[in-house]
Amino acid sequence: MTYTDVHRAFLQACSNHGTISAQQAYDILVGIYARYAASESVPREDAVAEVVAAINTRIYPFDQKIAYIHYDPTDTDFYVFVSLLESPIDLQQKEYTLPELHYFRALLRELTLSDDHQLPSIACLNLTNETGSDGHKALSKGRAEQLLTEWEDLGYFLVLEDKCHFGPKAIVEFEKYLNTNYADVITRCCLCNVTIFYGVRCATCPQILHKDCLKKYLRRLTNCPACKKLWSVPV
Amino acid sequence: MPRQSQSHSRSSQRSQIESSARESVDERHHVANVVKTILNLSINKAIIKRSDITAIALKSDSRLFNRVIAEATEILRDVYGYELIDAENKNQKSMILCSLLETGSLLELNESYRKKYTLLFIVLGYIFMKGGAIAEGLLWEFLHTVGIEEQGEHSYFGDVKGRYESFIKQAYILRTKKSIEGMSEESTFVSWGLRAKHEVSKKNVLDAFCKIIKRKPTNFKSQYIEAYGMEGAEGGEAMVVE
Repeated sequence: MTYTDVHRAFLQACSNHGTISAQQAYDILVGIYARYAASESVPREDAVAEVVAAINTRIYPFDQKIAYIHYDPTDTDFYVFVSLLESPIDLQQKEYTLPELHYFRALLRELTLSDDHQLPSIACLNLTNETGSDGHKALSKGRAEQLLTEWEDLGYFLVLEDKCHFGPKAIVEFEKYLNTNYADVITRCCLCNVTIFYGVRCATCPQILHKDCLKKYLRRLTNCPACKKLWSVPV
Repeated sequence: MPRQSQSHSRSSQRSQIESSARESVDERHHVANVVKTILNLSINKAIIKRSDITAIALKSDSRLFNRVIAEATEILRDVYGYELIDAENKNQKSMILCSLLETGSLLELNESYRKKYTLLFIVLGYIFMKGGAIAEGLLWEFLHTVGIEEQGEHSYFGDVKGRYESFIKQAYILRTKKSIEGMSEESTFVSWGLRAKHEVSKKNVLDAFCKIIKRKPTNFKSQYIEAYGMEGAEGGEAMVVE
């Protein structure tokens, strides 16, 4: 596939959004084709994956990637634009102040340590209490709310039924960081060996599994892959 | 003069090839660092300083900057569709990263971008229709007439004043001070900034604004010429927006 303005426009759209659902990605691509490849027919659904693959070969030398992730809490697929080294939130950027970065890290920490990696919205706002330090004033609740909306838009968090979760972008960007720093609290799905935050829990043992992994497994077998007892939780 | 032995000249050739290979690997590494740094610093469309790029990406070696900037610029254009535009900013060599591709559909923007761009279009549109430069006070008076206030939160646009100030930081709007005859203080004027000139289509602004005020773009001769070029402008009457 030759690299054209279709690729460049899609790349810019991805980096502007931060995170887009697979459906959004397709809609965006159709619009881009209409502008830059009007002579070609409407792209097929799998054209997105081809465009993304072509883009990834070109941006890999700059430590960037458009990653594809299945997000369990909403059972949706997402494309996430990421920097492969540390998150841009940490690196040389003049976008967020120190207390704001502190708040972000506190949210990551509390989500990691909490049951089922969920935090009620109130608890998220209360984390501002620990952001004051070294002469910096603590974050106001108003600013915290703004930040949460901004970060949710980018895909770092997702609020479902008033509970804050890791968003698709946080999962992709911080998987390594969280695995390194919170190894005792983070588990892997025993079927695909990928770090898992959200999934289906066994009724008799503490194992969590990805919904898709479990569905495939239960087509052939009927017991929990970890504790071997009969699987009873509806999937 | 005694000739060097065969093996000696071969090994010096080899080390020459190795060191130039090493140099080109280093250079690729420097180019990649410069590209990454420019992208990171431009996340908020800010005006970036050449000195910042050199300090972060090239350990403050400014001769290296001159060697690698051409290739970095080419990569930004070829892979990302961005153009590096030189900006003059208080005697500091600075630049902005602009998109070469028009943001056609608002689908490509997330919700917060959409709000920003709509407000931006309204401001740039008014400036354009009023001839390209207006007193800042007049701009706020106009915004007031369409229900957008300078202070407080707007139900759709949010913190209007904050967004407006960020447009200036991002070089969408240029704010200048001029002394006017008869006025004791300098007056503040606003016009299209460098980024707007590169990224925003005058055609789109004219068309959108005319839709709102329900007039034909051809009614505004000088704006039409500016937006569409001379060939498109025959037969229009000149009119001025009140």
